[in-house]
Amino acid sequence: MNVEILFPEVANLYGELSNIRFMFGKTNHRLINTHLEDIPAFAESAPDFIYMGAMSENAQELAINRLLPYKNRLKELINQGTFILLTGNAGDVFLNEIVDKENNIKLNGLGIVDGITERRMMKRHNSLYLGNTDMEGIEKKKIVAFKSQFTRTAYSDSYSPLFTTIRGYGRGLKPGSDEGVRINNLMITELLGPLLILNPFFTEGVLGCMVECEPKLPYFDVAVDVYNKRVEEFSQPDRGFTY
Amino acid sequence: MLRFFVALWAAKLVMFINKLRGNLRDDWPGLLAFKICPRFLAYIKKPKLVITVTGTNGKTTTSNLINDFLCEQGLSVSHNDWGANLYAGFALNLMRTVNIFNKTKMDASILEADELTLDQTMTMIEPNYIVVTNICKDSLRRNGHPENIFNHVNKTFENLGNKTVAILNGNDPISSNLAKGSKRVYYSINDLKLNPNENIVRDISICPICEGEIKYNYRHYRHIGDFFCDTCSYKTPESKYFVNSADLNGRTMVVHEGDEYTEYPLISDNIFNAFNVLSCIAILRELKYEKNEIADFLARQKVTEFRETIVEFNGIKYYTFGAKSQNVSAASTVFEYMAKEPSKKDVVLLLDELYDRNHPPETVTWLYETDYEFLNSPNINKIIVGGRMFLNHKLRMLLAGIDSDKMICLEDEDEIVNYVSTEGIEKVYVLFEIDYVTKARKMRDKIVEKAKEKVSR
Repeated sequence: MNVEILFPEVANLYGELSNIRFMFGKTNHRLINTHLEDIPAFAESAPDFIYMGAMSENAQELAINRLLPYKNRLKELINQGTFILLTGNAGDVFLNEIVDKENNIKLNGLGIVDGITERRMMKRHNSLYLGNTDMEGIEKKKIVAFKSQFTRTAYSDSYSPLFTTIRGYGRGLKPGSDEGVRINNLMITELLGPLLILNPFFTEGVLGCMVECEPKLPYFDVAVDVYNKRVEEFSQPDRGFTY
Repeated sequence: MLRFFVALWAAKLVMFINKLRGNLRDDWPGLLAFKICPRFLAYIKKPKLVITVTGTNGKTTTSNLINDFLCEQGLSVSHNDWGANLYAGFALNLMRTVNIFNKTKMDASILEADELTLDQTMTMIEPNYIVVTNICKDSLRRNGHPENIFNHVNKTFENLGNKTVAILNGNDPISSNLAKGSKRVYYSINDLKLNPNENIVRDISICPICEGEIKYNYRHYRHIGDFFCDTCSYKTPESKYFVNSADLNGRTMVVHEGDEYTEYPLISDNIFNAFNVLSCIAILRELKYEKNEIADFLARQKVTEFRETIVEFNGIKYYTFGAKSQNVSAASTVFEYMAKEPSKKDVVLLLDELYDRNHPPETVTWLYETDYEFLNSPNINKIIVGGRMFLNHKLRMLLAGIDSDKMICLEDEDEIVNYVSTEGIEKVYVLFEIDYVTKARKMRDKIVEKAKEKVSR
């Protein structure tokens, strides 16, 4: 498998690259680190999986500038069904606009996904998340993760969500709203965790859609123990959910 | 101004009542003053000397050293040394320095300050000096990322301009770029051949000026070192206070200042405390204190017991050692120290956050930004983890490549004492979340008691 990581030098806030180490820890794969000055591998070939993690606001601007020449190619890959995962605020890069509400600044995004995010650097949101995944081919298991962000994102209602929310804050940080976006195999979520480590069944399911053999994850049993405990904890009705 | 005086008098009254109750460290008077008069910090008279110490790591040690030195010099100093580094703590600190007529009655104020709210508070206080120890990765929930912290601290200097002198760490490519419109005094350290480990997550990787790659002639730890950008002229600035050489184990360093080289004692054997001592020397020299006075003072200092304590029994040294969970850079730096400090040791991790019924469980992103890989070191005999997050630590350690035979992960912290080695090691370190000093000491003492029981049998 060819796994491309976009801009690992800046898009690795909160240890997000651990998602990839976990997902592909037991798979034969070629890891392609595409740095800011590089031509993306996806420009000339079709990787099996493309990942971009959370980054600073300045880095978002750099990522938009670097990816803009490849906007149509990215659209093509999405239409072809390439697996692309964007976590944290990486999905903002694919939107129409990022609006800094405190400084009244608008930044054009790639415009691949119809939506706008509003940023308030003095207002960080922190919460827990409990949801479900309804992706075909993936065992329907609960999703547990965290949210920690300066932004509120409004997506077009026409998009399928990546997760449906049981408790927590989804799109636009509205309580109970659906979380993230799924367009073919493009998966956008604001959830942090690292998401794939916290949700081994989801990870196994996504990996299973990409590999022909039985998907294997490192220390799967321990990851499942951690997952079960967290699901139990997040499901407690009187559990605090926001910090 | 009437509003200010009402605030001052009301807060002073509460302070007086607190004093009668022996409760001098309660921030409530400061909070009350702020509620009544939001610009209280601007109106209150300041002592002649106000020094603010901020930064991700090292501000407590540095501000304690500065405070203790000035007190030894006979100055009356108010210092928010009770951990209140926000508005209320500053208000209480400054209230102590004035009488009820808002006339100054003390010589100096030392303000240990949170980075994120610095622009709101210091713009009103207008300190003479702001020492920035460093800017590193910190808590996800509060700080987001280092660029965000930089922006807040930088805005402070932009607001203050020439009113405040910036004392900056020249080896930090993030914070050394602060305060372009202010007078800047730098300190830095020469190559000590420390051979630091690579961190899994970098605090800064691209140049803040041109987006080129940040590279190093040498590093001390994390992103702290002699840096340069390979595409523009951004690099470690010229330092007024430069450590030419240091013997960390011998606990001395030689500081080059002007044409002179002066030997100063260090308070511990680690590089991050060498930076804390150096920042203290820089500010005290800026205040024109004599080098020999500073050196004499430092010779009598040690790391505060809040951070580190030690008990010895049967040839084994048992430490409590502050590690600050959630603060990624602090935890990683302590893990690196555990690996580099050569003695054979057991490491106990007591890093869980506060937890109760209504509180959300802690975020675990910090585990994946923190270098657990460093604990995979031959001199670490055993790693014993206790607390409700034990499974999360276990998974993280396994993913870091640590042999499962080397780790013991327990939900019940009380069980830890049963697993600590009593022979074949030289040291036991109880690494603790900084809010749980007492808990860590109790755990360490129980471990020692258990060892004594074993010997007596």
